[in-house]
Amino acid sequence: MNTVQGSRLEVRQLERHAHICDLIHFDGPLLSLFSDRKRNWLYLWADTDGVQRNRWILFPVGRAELVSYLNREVPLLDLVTGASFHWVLDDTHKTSTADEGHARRDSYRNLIRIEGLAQISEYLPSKESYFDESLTNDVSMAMDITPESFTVPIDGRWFISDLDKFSKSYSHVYAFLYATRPQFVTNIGERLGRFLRAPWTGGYSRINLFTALEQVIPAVHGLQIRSIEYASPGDITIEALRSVGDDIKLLAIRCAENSVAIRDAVKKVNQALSDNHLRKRNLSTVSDAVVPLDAQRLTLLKDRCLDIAKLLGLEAEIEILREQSPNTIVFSKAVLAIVKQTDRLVDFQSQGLLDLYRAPHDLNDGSEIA
Amino acid sequence: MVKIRSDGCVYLCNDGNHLKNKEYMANNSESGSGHTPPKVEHEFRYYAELAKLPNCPPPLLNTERRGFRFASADKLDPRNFLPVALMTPARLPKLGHMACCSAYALSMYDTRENLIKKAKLLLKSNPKALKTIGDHFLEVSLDPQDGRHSAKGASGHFDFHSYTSFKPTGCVIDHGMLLL
Repeated sequence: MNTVQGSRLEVRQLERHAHICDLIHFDGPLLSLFSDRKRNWLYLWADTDGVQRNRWILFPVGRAELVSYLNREVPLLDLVTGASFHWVLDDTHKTSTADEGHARRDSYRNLIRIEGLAQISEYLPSKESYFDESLTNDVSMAMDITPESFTVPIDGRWFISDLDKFSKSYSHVYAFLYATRPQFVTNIGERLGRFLRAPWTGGYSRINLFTALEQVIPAVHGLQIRSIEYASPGDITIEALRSVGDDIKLLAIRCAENSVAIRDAVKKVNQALSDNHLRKRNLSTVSDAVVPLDAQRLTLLKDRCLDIAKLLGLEAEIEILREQSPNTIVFSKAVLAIVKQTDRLVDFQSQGLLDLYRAPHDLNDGSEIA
Repeated sequence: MVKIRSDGCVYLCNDGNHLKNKEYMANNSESGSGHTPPKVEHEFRYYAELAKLPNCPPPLLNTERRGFRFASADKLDPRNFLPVALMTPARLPKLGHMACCSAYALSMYDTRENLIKKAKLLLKSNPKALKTIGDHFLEVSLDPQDGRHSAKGASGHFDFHSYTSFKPTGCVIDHGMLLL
């Protein structure tokens, strides 16, 4: 491998990059999609010395460009050459024999920002490098991939703190609905299961679940604010997966309309957890067979959660949550967390800050993406 | 506790019990999915690693077949039969990249033509791809005693999970440079 010249960067910068899926995979990734929660990044495998080092080309890619690539409208070459900058990552794994004969593995990574493409010309894809779904198991092109603009109708007088609270709850509900539906990235369900098996001891775990779910959303489908029209009435225009946005609205409306019945079911679930001192107990790695709750109470928890699912119109999503949860207690806590986040959106509606019954604006640029 | 899903896949219940190799095979044979009844004396080579992964291995077939695989110029290079999960240097762009079941299998194709087709496809996006996967081919004859394999996909690809008794060099029929 040749030596690459450029400005040395802190490898720490890659810590905020979350792996979303592999777009080309053969005995390991050859092209991976990452997200730093705002931008899409492509990691293109470039070279190896066959002994201890692999080289990757890293570059950001815009939403429109990524969608065009996935739709086979442009080759990968165009994404590489069109990127605003390129980093070269040399990933070295060295196994050496340390003291007392034990093998020790030393790994280090060098990250370099290069100028121009001349130094990586030998790694550039061909003009025929169109996306091929057969090269990955992580992606289903049968699913909706194009983000669209849609409006969230607002009203009344907003404070900065309202905007903060609203965006958190909206993002959490968006992440949950995104992760519990079939999406173009096919491995999200498995990740949901892993998060539910992480230690679950109370409010902290709930936030961790939503934060983790937000990280698996590809940046191409992240919630991007296109505009805020602040008036009474006004609109927040968001660019994301429109179908999920539409469902958040329906969910909040159902939650408001069935609030009495939902509150009653939530109370019963909370009561069962509190009575048995389970609210802050971490049971994320055990099955129903060993949780400290008898079968009758477990059935009660499950039935009330399914009642909530029905009232919210989330039967399929909550069923996925149930399948992925290690036991009924974690499942119940996760359901309560969803209700709580949705309730916060309903609060905005009842305070007159949202007007979910108002017909959304007809956005002429609905399919336009930036 | 091991359960069989309606689609025949095996999954682990979350009670901390990992799927035992023999249990997997016994359950798998009862699933009625047309698999050859396995001989329980065989054990997968990477059984301990497979047992840590969900749905792993998936239902597999146990028939005689021919396989073509990417390989290095040295026919006897042990890496020619090393699953990608154990290959060094690991081609993983980020630490903590998910390990998957097929990473402990050997990738194979049903014909040399399909292997070459795959190589050409990969080279479009990764011009140096053969440096990491191998620029030669190996043709192998796989016996039911050697291991179990997945059904082949549309591209002719299948995963081969070897048994501990599998002798790689004994099954090689041909080896040569890939002519693209």
